[in-house]
Amino acid sequence: MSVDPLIEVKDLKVHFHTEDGVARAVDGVGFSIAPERTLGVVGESGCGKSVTARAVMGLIEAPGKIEQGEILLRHNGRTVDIAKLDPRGAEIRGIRGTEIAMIFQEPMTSLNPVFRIGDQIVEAILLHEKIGRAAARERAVELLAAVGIPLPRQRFEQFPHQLSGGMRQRAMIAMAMSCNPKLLIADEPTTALDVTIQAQVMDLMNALRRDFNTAIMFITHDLGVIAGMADDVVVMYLGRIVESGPVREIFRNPKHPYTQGLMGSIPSLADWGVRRLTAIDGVVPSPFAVPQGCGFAPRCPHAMEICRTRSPDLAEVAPGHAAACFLNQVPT
Amino acid sequence: MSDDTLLEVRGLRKYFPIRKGVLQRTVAEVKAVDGVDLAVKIGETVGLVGESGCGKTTTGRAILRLTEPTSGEILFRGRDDARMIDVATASPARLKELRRDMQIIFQDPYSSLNPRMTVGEIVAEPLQIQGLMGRAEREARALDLLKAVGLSEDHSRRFPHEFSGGQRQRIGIARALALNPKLIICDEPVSALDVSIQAQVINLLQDLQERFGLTYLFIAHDLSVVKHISNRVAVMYLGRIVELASTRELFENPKHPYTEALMSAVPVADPDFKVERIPLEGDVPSPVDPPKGCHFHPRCRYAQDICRNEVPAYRQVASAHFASCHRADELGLRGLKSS
Amino acid sequence: MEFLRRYRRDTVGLFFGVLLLILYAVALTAHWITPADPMAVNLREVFSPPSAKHWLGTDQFGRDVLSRVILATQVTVKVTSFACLFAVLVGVPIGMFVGYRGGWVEAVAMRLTDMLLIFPIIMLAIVIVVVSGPTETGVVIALGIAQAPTFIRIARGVTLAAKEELYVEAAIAAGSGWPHILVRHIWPNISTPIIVQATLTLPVFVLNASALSYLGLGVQPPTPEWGQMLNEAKDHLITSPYLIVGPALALVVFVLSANLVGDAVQETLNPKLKKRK
Repeated sequence: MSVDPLIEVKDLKVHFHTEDGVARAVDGVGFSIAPERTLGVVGESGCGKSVTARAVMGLIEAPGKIEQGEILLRHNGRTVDIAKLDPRGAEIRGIRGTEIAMIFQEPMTSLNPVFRIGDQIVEAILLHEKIGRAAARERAVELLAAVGIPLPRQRFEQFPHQLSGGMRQRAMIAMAMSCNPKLLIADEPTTALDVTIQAQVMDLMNALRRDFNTAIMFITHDLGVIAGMADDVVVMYLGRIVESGPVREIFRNPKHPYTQGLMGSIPSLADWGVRRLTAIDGVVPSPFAVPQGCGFAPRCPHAMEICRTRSPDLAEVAPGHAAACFLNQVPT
Repeated sequence: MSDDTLLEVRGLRKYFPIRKGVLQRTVAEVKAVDGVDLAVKIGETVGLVGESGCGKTTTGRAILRLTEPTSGEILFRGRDDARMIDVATASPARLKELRRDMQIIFQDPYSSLNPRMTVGEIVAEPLQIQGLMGRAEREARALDLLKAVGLSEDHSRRFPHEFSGGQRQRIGIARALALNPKLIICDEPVSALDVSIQAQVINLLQDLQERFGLTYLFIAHDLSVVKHISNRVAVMYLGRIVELASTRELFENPKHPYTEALMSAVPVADPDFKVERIPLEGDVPSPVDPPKGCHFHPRCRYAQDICRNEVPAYRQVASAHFASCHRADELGLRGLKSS
Repeated sequence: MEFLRRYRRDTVGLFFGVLLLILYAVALTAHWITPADPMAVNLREVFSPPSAKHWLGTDQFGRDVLSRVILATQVTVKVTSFACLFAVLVGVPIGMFVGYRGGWVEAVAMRLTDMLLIFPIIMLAIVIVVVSGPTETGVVIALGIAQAPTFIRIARGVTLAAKEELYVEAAIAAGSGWPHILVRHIWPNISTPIIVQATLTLPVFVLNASALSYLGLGVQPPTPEWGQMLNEAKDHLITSPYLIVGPALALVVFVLSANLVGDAVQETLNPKLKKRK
């Protein structure tokens, strides 16, 4: 890719130091997102996808700790390493909202139940921009309209609980978009929604990406949503990226046995005649006891001797497409 | 009613009263299930699909009388195979006997297992309740059941918190099998599980069905899962079944506009599979005060005057294909093309 | 056990836990550890101040106060523990049943309970003890019944939450009736909060038992009881103030320890409570 990436994460490790030991939630993750692209991050619970997102937002606090790695962001004409910033400092607060915004699975967690929807968006705008309250109000109403909330002036006056789940998610997106962030991190934003509402929100996010020129980091466990949203995909397992590449490559030509297993695990609407799913055996190991060697080896149908002792690095298998598996590389 | 019918639900209704004031007067009713007709044949899997609040879970619970139905008949083929017994009006003793033949698997693998009981006790509990077998026999049966669902014998002395979500769901399945039931109501059994575990449980359910000759009423919101596992599918909207057909017929040739919109909204795990989405405006109306006429008309892009005023009959629109839409015969709705 | 391991980290709880254990040990061994006969009247040694022979002095009959405090500890611990047990045994089954049953049975039972809760517990206890007689058993019954409504409320509350669990529904689906569900599914899951609550209310029992005997409605002389000893000491407060020290100290130490131990148990079981402080 010729364009400079908007954000670049290099060899990120986030560990949680708890009473029960050290959980290696993110254990060496690297990726980059170019402006206006959508990166889909897919993986099952406990794979570290949400922790990665929180790290990019500079939201890792004790008992979590960024052990290693860089999160490089272009900000005010220079490169900032978010991993080195104080999570409560002024600099990261200047970045959150203006450069990077985030939306969550459950909108109620980020909307304050005692304030009106509109006022919360106005506050978000005033926090980052020097404009008058009246102007901010107009912007907020425009935003509510832009995210497809009918009768935005009336909704402006309502409280979060008066809105349905889909409408709340729209309001939260409006709040996130209020300062034109360059990167929007969406952590399972449609998981709690019904399919028809999920479809509305996905269409909305795709439209916003075009209108606002925003890059999106879209985190989900749902391969269907990834296929409909993402330009590029990273597949995570046990705190590591096992495969990354353009969306079509990942779906057409998955190279890592875990990715292949995921694809075989989901019943497809498009196919008939698949009577039996090819499930992945076993369960995800605990992040407190990450197996030696490749994290997937205990569940992998193709595991070899080397997989149990050495951990494979991501290596290119096709242009722009990389997999961390010894099946695709000659061990040195 | 043919001889191979295991369960036949007629006009099932469940209204939850909304009470207010000191005297707790009923001021309104939530019409969670509002007239459901459904028949399930021996050995088949019927999928019951719909969005949250459509009444699918309440339907399942009412069939087992875990919630008392407001009205309607629930005819079930009992032990002696000869005649159908109405579950809705069965006496407590009769109901206890009927419950040997109809069991349930829950969505939440955490709340469904008592944290203070060992896995072996949990699986054997239905036998104890029904007073079947001696203690030693029950324990032996529990071990067999654990093996049947892919767990091992030494799991039986452990407690639920030592297991993952998928393993817990297996324990719940073993418990449901303990009484050797004919019908199992699966209430969203895989929707709380991770994708790779989901596939394991779906495969297990299919294997068990074959091995024990089970009949499933499979309640889910995920159309892909329902399509995969069901022989026939019923689509629910606002307390009513709006369409019912064999799986292939329903997906390829839908007759109700809601089914069409629902299918077009499902994200398909294929970046080249582009369906034209049929947008559904707004949200599902409140079941306290459902729209007049066809419940779906405010969100239906084909709605006409008749839809706003008259409730459409739930009728046969093609061979073994039922739908409740005034315009079912004239609309050429889009289904999934087979590939 | 995990519980003990975490409890050990709470120094305040640990200290008062040990203190409470000592008080119970004193109560259990009272007959053997009293330095003198707590009942023996010695008219030659009335109102003697604390000395090497009588650490806490002697009372108006020349009885050794330390020995009487030790015996009173036994009486109080016995009466309050049984009263607490009685309240639990009466209140918890009723609360569990009405909570699980719901409907009009629950509505009626809870209105009645609320009516009882309007009265101060000590008033209820006085009324009952007048009927049951001022004996040890009478006091146990009076305090037990007077406190039972509290346990009905608590048991009902935790039952309401516990009955919503799906494993209860699974048992119903298997044909289970309410006795099996209450014993097998509800009780094991609500016993912890109820035990905590019982520990927390123990000081209330102690205070009420002492109040009853202070008013002359509790355990009757010559059997010593803290409240009753305080009542007697108050008559000689000017001339022999040392009489009040023993029973007052014992009462304060017991109530304080039981209270702090209850808090510590609760915090250990539910660490979130601690962070809020």
